[in-house]
Amino acid sequence: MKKVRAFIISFSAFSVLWFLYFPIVIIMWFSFNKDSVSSFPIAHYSMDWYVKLFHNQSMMQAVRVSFFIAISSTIAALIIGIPSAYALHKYNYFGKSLLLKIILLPITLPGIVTGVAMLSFFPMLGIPLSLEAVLIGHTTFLIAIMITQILARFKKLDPYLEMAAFDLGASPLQAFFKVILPNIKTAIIGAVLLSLVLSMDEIPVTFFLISRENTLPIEIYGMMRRGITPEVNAVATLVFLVSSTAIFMSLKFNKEQ
Amino acid sequence: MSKLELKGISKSFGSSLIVNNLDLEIQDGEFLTILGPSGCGKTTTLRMIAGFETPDKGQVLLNNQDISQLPPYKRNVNTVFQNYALFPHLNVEENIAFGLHQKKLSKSETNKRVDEMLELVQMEAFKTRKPFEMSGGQQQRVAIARAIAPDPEILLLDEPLGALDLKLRKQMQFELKQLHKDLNKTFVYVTHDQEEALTMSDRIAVMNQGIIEQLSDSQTLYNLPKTKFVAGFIGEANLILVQIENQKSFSFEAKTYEFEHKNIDKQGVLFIRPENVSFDAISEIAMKVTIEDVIFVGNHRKYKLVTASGQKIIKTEDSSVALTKIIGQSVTIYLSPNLIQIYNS
Amino acid sequence: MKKRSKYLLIFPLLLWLFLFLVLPYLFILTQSILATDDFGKVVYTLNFDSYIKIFTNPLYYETLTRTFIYAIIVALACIVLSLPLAYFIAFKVTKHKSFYYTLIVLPFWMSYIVRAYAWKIILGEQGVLNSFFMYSGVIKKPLSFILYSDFSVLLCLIYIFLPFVCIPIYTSFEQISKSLVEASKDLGANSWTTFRKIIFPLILPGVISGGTLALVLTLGDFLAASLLGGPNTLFISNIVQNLFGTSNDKPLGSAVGVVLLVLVFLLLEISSRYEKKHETQ
Repeated sequence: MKKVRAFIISFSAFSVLWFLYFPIVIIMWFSFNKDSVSSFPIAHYSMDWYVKLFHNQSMMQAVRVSFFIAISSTIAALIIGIPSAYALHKYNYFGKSLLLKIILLPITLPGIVTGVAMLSFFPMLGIPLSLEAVLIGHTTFLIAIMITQILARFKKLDPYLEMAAFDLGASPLQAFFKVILPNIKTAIIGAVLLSLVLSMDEIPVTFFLISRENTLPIEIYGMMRRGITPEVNAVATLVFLVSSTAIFMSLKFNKEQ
Repeated sequence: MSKLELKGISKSFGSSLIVNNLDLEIQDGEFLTILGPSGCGKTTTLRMIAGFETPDKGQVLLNNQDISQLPPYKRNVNTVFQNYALFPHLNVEENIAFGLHQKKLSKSETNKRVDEMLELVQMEAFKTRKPFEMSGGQQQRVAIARAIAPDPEILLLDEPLGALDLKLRKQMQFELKQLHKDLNKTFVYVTHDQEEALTMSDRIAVMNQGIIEQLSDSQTLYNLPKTKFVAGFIGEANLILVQIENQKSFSFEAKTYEFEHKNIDKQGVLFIRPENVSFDAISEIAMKVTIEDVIFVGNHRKYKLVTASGQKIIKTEDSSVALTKIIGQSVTIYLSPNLIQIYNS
Repeated sequence: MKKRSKYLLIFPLLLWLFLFLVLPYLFILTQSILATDDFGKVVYTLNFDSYIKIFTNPLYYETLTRTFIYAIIVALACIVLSLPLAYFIAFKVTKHKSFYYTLIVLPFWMSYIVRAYAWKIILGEQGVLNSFFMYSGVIKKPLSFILYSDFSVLLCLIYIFLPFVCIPIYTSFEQISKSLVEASKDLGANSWTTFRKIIFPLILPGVISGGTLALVLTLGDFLAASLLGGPNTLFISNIVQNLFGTSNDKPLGSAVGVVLLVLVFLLLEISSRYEKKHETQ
């Protein structure tokens, strides 16, 4: 009886795990299929779709655009996020809990609403639909990621460390760079990796702010709307490999300390 | 010469007054301990000396200069923190050198000073270890070395032994005392552990509710506590309710005893340590009691005594003295006038 | 000095959030009560037609209710699938626990579009599933109804949001002290009673917060329906998408967006109240 129950639990657990990973395995497997129809069984294996992918001009351009957006919005989010996280940790402000809620809005509210809100309002600020608009949109939700990740590390940091630095003669700026920054470094690296991955994957906000040049997920979205091209299998496999490496690394950095 | 003086300092957090118009003068080279229960304001006082808090009122004078408004990094005072606060990303050597770098010492001077410090706390072998690779006691030594390295005028220690186990604590107490002697520096030590305070300090300031109740050396503090709070806080004490007619005498269970004191209330509290309660007729102050219980506690034995009106008195004696009394026996105890105090109740 | 840095450090964040987040949200709030002229251009006159339309035209309120029901189905399915997996990793795995944990966290961060695409090649008429069944002789003709239907959209959403539900449930399983389970058994409860009376009440906050997340995410999703849905598959967010795109009625689109926001806020509020109540108990 006990054995049967244990078997049922582990069987269903492994079935769910299989459900989580089976589609990914399928994509990777079929990316090596020579045929353009993803049917079982695979008759011939080849690297054709990978070769085609690298010759697809608009796809390659989309990859470049995605990298540009991801890197620049991550940098912008860092510049705004680190000092704010430090200040939010250290000081009390009037309306601080409301501010923390507002910071999180772009990741708690449906992306589509944020997207159409920005779409409607950005032109009034003189920002047309463009990569700049996408960059601002991405930065806004990456700030939420940065601040939550870094704030979480600050909460774990021994508050006496900064005091000890002051006590030994370090000014607030010296204490920040010599003591605080080295101790939140891994959280920052982790947050940067997550930000890059999230920005590279983002669709709902990008969808509404983009003009002519597509980011990678929007390009894939377009291809999917047109029908199945096994090129997507190849690009999906690559995206999966790159992003899971980044995520593995970020999980590792977050676990440290 | 480094003289530290606190003049009428007060500090409140929100509506609660934590330090209340406190005066304290600390002599050059002194080992002074601020002792008190948690929440008495001792740590806040220390933090005002270090510069982590600014007093609402009053002055902190170092060599007659008011430093109360200076930030901590502009004060020549260093702290050993309760949880050590060693920088986790730096090794032992770099931790000790931190304050020296801030002082812009040359590389060779820094190295020399770091080595001196490592030798002083006997941690030469741990020079390249990271804090998390060391035991609590070892981290403690590094924290002390780091605080002493910049040669502060005053070393502040905030319950530095609180996190160590009993045996290590005893050893570190001894080492700190030795260090104080060798360095000839002013130590201001904060603790809630009375035994630690009694064994290490030149003088002890007992704090309660933001004020200093008594400032004196260990022996005076123990034998002649000035207030009822100090009597109750340090060691074991018998506090016996007595009646007061004038300042020349007191009465207890219808008997009047001659004793000069300063109390004016109708009711008073008589203080005597359990070990000073005697079965021998050493004084005129004698009381009839019954032995309720005798308990063997290793090196001493404890008598639980009760008076005719039901007040409890504890007497201890060395267990090497032969036991001649039995439970239920009526006996007379004698209290030496040099060893009693009377407070307002 | 201290005061100045206190405000200086936070100022860029405040400015950024105000310009690029708070104002846009306030703007669609305003836009939802404006009118359009004959060419679909927004004109600045006060007008509540959009809200009236949402609650009188079946296209809007029916889609809203249907999306909500679908969202509940997705949330429940995610919870049901999460329970055995989370329980297994929290209580049964002894070796390589962090590896298993990574296995449920990894898909959480994985590309949405790639994962949605996978179902397209699995469920398609000439897809992996059909060709596998034909190859193995279970069916003669490919089944066509599984892709481009409400079913495929729901399956995809369950698949994508499963990690969002599984992680909080796992976390609450993990927080249960093993001695509680032992105490329950010591007092004579069998495994099922222990689960029902001890474990389940303790993981309920995790179940609620994970379920709410799946609910909210489904309400805001327009991609799955547009990629895997059939011609009649319409989620509330697709309506928003259309109104800001081809249909070009921004006030109405804003109004639907606002209704969606209010719904999401309500759900999050209820769930967080519930969790807070449980924390204090």
